[in-house]
Amino acid sequence: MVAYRKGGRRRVVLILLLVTSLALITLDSRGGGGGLVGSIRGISRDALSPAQNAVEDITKPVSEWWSGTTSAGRIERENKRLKRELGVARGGLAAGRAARRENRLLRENQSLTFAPGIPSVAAEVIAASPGNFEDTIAINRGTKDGVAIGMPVVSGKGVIGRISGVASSRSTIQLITDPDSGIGVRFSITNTFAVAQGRSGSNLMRVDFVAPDTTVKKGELIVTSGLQNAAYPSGLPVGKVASINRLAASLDQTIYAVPLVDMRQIEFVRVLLWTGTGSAG
Amino acid sequence: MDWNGVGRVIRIIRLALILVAVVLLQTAVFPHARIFGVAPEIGLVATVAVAFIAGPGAGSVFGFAAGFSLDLFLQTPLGLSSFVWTIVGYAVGVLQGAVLRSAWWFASALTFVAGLVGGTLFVLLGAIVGQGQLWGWSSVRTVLIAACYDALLAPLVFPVVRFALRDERPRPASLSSGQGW
Repeated sequence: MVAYRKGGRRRVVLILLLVTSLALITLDSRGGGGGLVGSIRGISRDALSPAQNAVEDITKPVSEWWSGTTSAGRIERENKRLKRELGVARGGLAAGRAARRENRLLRENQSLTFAPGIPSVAAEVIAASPGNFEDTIAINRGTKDGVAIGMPVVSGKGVIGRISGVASSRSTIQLITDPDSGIGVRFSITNTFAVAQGRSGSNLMRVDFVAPDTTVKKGELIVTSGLQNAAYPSGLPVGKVASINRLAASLDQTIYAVPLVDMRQIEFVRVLLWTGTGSAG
Repeated sequence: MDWNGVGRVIRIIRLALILVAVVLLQTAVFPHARIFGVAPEIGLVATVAVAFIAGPGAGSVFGFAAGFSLDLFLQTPLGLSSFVWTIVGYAVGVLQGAVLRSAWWFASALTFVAGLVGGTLFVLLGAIVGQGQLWGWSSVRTVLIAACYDALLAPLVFPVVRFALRDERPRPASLSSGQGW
């Protein structure tokens, strides 16, 4: 009898939890990333952000130390000393290279050759996507820096995505390679409009809705279309045409484009304070 | 408060600490430790462990809490992971009742199957609630790799959860432990 009651209570708890989950899904879907659910997300991300940064800072040197330790063998004292000195010298060289690279990235990021006149905020990438079914990154700027949901984000070479979640000192960027991302584009030579969609598990974007009579060339630059109500300002570089497959018996052509920015190597970005109707800053 | 109550509170506190650790690992460590571009679902592994050790009640509640916590950091709708992990926690807990003795590899095998089922449910339910991008062959690959990764982590996570749920009451040697919170 007791066991029966316990089983019944468990089933009631299970049903309550499932109903709560479904209610949350509905609330979130209807809220479109904002509202109560958006606020809860923002508060949680802010609250955990220092701990996340601390864990990343702690685990990074440990993993680097571990890989160094496991690759070292038993060597004689002199050999050890020389290697240590060599290691220090190489470390200095690597640090110099890293500093030069960081300097170059910062300069590229600082002096954008596109999006003139649009105010922007520089940011550093602080985290990658925690999930397997999305292509996002997190940056160290949020609402207190003027960042809002929907704002375009660029790096030195072109567009990387738009703000999809924002907390006071941290934001999430949905990259243009995310499978749920679609961006209105224009081919730079033919001036034809199309839509570039992210693809699951791939760095390539699929370019859809290309007029059948359009002749696209491999390597052709695609830029943001900037049509009315577009999510991005006009003329921001997006990518280059990587492949064109046209079936002999069909008018359709399948076009894939590779983003100008390598999404795995992003360190610094600029959030354009642009909300569609004009700059927010 | 009697010894039962104290022990229960201690176990809940330990599980809450595991939950915080799970969120930190998933958001700060595993994004940089991907295999073939896929991160493990450490929250799902912990849910399976809790359900297997403590039963369906604890499994479903921990699954809900872990899923909800992770959902706060994802782009997919809030509640999607919690819905799926609640079901997985309950199912594993029910299955646990039918297992008398388990081999050393059982935790990994169970986590692999739970990872496959959980991943598939996530994709299906996600597609139903408007996450059409989840629907595709690449999701099959992702679910499969994540399930393998989860299975590799299971032997590390199960002892930690077993430690968190251990019953410290002085009791006769003939009684076994592990049921309930």
